[in-house]
Amino acid sequence: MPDERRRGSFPSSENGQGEEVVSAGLRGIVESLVAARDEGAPVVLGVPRSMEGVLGGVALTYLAHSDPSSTRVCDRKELQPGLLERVLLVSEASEDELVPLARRVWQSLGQRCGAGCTNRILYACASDDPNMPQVVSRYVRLSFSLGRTVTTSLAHADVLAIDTLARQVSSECEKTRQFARFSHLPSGGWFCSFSPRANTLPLCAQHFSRRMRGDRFCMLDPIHGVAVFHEAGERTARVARLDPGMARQMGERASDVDAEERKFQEMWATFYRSMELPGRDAASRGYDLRIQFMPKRLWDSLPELAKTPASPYAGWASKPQGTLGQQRIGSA
Amino acid sequence: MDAMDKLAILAEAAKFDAACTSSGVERGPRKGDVGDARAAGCCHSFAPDGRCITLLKVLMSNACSYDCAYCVNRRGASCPRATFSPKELAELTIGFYKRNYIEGLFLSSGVLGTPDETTERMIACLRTLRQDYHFNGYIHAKVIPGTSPELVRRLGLLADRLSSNVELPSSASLQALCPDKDSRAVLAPMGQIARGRREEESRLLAQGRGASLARRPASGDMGPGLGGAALRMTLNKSRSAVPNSHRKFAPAGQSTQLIVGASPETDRQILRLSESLYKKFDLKRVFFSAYMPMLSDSRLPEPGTPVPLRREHRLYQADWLMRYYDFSPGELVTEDRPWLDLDLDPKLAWAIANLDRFPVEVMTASLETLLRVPGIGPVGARRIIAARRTQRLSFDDLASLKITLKRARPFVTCCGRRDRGSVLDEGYLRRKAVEDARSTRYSHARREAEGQLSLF
Repeated sequence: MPDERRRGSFPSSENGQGEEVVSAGLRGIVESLVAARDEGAPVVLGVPRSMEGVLGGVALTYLAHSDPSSTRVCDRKELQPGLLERVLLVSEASEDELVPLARRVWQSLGQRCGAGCTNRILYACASDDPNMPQVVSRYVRLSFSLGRTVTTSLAHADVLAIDTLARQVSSECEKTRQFARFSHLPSGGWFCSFSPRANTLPLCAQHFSRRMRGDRFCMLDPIHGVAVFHEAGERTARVARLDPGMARQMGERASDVDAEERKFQEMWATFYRSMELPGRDAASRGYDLRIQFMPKRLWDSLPELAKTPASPYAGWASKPQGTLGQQRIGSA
Repeated sequence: MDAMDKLAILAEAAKFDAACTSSGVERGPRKGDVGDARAAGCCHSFAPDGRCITLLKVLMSNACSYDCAYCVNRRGASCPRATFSPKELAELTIGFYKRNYIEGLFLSSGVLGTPDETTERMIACLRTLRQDYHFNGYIHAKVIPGTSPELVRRLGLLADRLSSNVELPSSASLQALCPDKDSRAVLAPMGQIARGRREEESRLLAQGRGASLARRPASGDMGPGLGGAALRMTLNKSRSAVPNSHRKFAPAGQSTQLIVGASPETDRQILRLSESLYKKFDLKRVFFSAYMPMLSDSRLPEPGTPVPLRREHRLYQADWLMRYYDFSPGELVTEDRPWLDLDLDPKLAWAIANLDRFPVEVMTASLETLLRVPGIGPVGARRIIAARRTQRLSFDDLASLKITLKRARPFVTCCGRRDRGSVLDEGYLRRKAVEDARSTRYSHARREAEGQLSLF
């Protein structure tokens, strides 16, 4: 699709000055992409699994005027080359050099296609789906080709693919906002460890910064090795990538709670159990409605589902009562 | 009695209230305050029965001088009684909020002496929470029928949402089951809240603090839940020119609740009442609570009678159709057929009864027409309208757009073509829909609970 490629190219590369925006570390990859294009060889480009990595990778294929039909963008850690495919990898040393390229693609997309397009990309890039880099790459090319109409081309295969990823991530973000649970640390401040099925903490950090502006808190995602740090009074939080050792060390703080914290967790469990209404449970419905909204994979981190001592008054309103005359068993 | 025992008693006492939403107001964080409020709300947990838990829903006290027949806290009930102090309740709310367990507080109360005395205590609780503990999150407060207007006004300045429960669908039933309440006392605060909100709106508009509707989000891009909450989903419904974040008095509006199945009113009576409440008092929600027979009383269904979950579900569906699909109660239930069909959802039942309006052509149908098609909701209808601007839609495309084709297929054409194998015949559609509905696990369980239902 030569027309599409030309329309989506960087203006600088259209003028034959594409190399000027590429650092020395990435120039070799662009040259290899150009060589593959000239020889008609299929290429798989391995990039870091991040928005910067994927958009930077797409930028490299634009700069090389690669043929989209024979160029794949993949996570470099999960890369599996196809038959006859040439493998090109963005090295860890060159990772930071992708950032200015990614920023350029991001800004161009915003101007050309609007926030509806960039929002989809933002959410899709947080997905754990192995095909994410290629799905995003195809959508970026389509967006540059169609302009603002990409947001209304809802039945296009590439739009459907990215919509599916973005919807999954959006749903996982909501679960993060719903089910992340904080504990008060004996040393002061709040801590939360949450294991989502997408890299949602960077997308939800602002939500928690607003909600807990006056507090110092830390959120940990041990699966994706990401932590969010917020200082009391700050408007924003800082997001950091952690190595596995550091993530494990931080995760151990989750169980570091004092008696006051345990008391609050028990009170929450008491309240939770009190909310159940008789005659509406799974047996009465034929299915468990709760699991649809609160997946079992998250239950271990929810204090309301932990076994805690019950109050002697638990469940009093769910038991059939007499009418008058029985002794009152409590008082104000 | 310690806070744990009080919580166990007062949460149990409050759980029969259906409302647990924290939506309707957007309020950003303020320096020195705790929390914020999101217009979309957030469910933080789900009870074993599947209902969402968003707020710390408790009674301030379950000691009550009223004697409503269906209420577990009524004057004559033999039950443990407790009362929270303002400080206890505030500390509990803040503690739960900071742990991300809740979005805020839902405060109701038994009638401690008189409605005014009770409301004074509730106001003291909320003032402690707002002013001493600087809580900036969501608060839903219940208005006790008979409370004086000045106290309702003060309550509305501390809470985001107010609600006055209608309780029962007719004043005759209210009189029979709640001898201490009368419908005028229930409706008076609703009228006052609606007037108060209208007056504040006029005042804010006069001060130039209304938001231009043109500047508010339009429904152009139907992204995957990205900004979807900002889309206007309602039809023919007036929209305030004043954002709720500018309001001080009950910014999230008001709601009500009525009990279904404790008294003999039909679905038609209930839906007509709901419609009139929405129109007259600009309610945000009418909640239906299926009656749970816990008490022995000759005026009520016997303990052990199955909870009318299906009826409650159909009423919520009908309410949804009225609020988001522009249906009127007269289209869903009539004088001849005053009950909603328990085996068919109300939209499908309406479509089957109005087959002359179908099939609908997806390439040309208006939003209002698409919304009448079973299987097409507000999001799906807008996706169709967006997608058809750039391409001719087929049935496969509709499936890609996440339209529920199992329902919609017989009722639509794509570029003039019907789906092969779909029959637009009343008898066939009805039989198939009923067969599908009856084969679900839900239906099996409900049939076991309620006994075999007659279909037609």
